[in-house]
Amino acid sequence: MEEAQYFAPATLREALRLKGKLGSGISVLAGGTDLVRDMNLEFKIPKNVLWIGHLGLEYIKLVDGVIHIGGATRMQTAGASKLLQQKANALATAAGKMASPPVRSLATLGGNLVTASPAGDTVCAMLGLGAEVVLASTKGKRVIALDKFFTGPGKTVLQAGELLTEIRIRPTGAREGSAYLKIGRRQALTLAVVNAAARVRLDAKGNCVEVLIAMGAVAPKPTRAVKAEKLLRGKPFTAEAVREAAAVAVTETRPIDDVHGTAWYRRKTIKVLVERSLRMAGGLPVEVD
Amino acid sequence: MTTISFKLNGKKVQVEAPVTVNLLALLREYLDTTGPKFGCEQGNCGACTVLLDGDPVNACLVLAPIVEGREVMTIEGIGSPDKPHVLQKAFTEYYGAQCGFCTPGMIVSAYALLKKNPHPTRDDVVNAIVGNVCRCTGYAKIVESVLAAADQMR
Repeated sequence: MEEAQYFAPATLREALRLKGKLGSGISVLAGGTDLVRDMNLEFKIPKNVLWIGHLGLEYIKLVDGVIHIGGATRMQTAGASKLLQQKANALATAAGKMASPPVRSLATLGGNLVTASPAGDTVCAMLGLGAEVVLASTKGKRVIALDKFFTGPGKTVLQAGELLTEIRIRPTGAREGSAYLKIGRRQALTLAVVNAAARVRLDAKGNCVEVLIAMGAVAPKPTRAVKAEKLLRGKPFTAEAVREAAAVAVTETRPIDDVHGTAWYRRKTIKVLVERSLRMAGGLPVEVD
Repeated sequence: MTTISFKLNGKKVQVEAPVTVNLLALLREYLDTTGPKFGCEQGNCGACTVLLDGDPVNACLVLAPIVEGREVMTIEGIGSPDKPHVLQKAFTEYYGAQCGFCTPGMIVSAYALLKKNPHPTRDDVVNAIVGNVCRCTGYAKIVESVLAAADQMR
């Protein structure tokens, strides 16, 4: 077998050219916490490696009222970002607590999305915030809403010649908040048995004008609870309404039994996480009575 | 094969290795730097923790070529048997090490914490070492060692 080649281009243009030319024959290395682990365990032997750490894709900035996040932004950067803490709290929370400090100084947001685990921490948070992703290739860019990005476990609409270069999130504004919650088998260094994120905007009278609910590890891909969202939208945001919505959200899941937890357990706990994350995002007391 | 040049524990090094080798193997097998330990190879145990440009990372998850031009620090760069760092002394004084396998990674994580935060709380210490698994001590003595070192360094 031929020895793998390593490429560390200094410009996005050159990176896209390589990706366009070699397609699935070149593996993108962002943080490496998935790719290098898979190489260590011999799950994956890449033909070629494209490191994207020199492309200037680590940034978090507010441009024309939208938060732009570079695809290679690391977890520790996202977790420590004041902008995200204030305007996209669900994501700062998920990124700041994921795995462990040594993993967080490597792992990237774009990498977490492209790995497309149904249990991904920041994946769930970004889906709950209504994020969009920018997919670039030599032919140009396209912008995809995150709820159209995942197609199955580990599968996305990303084409072989494309790179995920940016994540875009509308910042939360007045009477608006977001939250992310996770149940793992322990506090750190653990996959989510279930996770949930919510984004809620209220009007001056306390009616829910906008709501997004994301649920992880309860279906083959990260999932929005669209029926539960519909139930809440346009109505007074009360503890009762939230509880009802959480019960509906459970009907939108398709959990399985696996080594991390049973379907039964996932149905019980996702209801609690959806309810709590909605309360936190919408400013209701978090103690569940 | 590729040539990788970087700063290891303050010294410039240059080494030739296959492009698919990870930083842990590069350090141990090509550069005879065996402080970082080979544990799970998945980023779950922290025994291979080193500093990359000052940030703690799992050396096993770093593809070696990406350290080109950067700075790596291992336990060997923190102190030596002749000149131990305050943290290393504290780990011996407060029984923070038993079998010793996790200790190099543990001390590197603690070192990164104290650089950033010289006044850590107990929770800060716990959160800094959650990525370092220890099967001997039950962690209490490790946390005590780090807090004692923080005290002594002030």
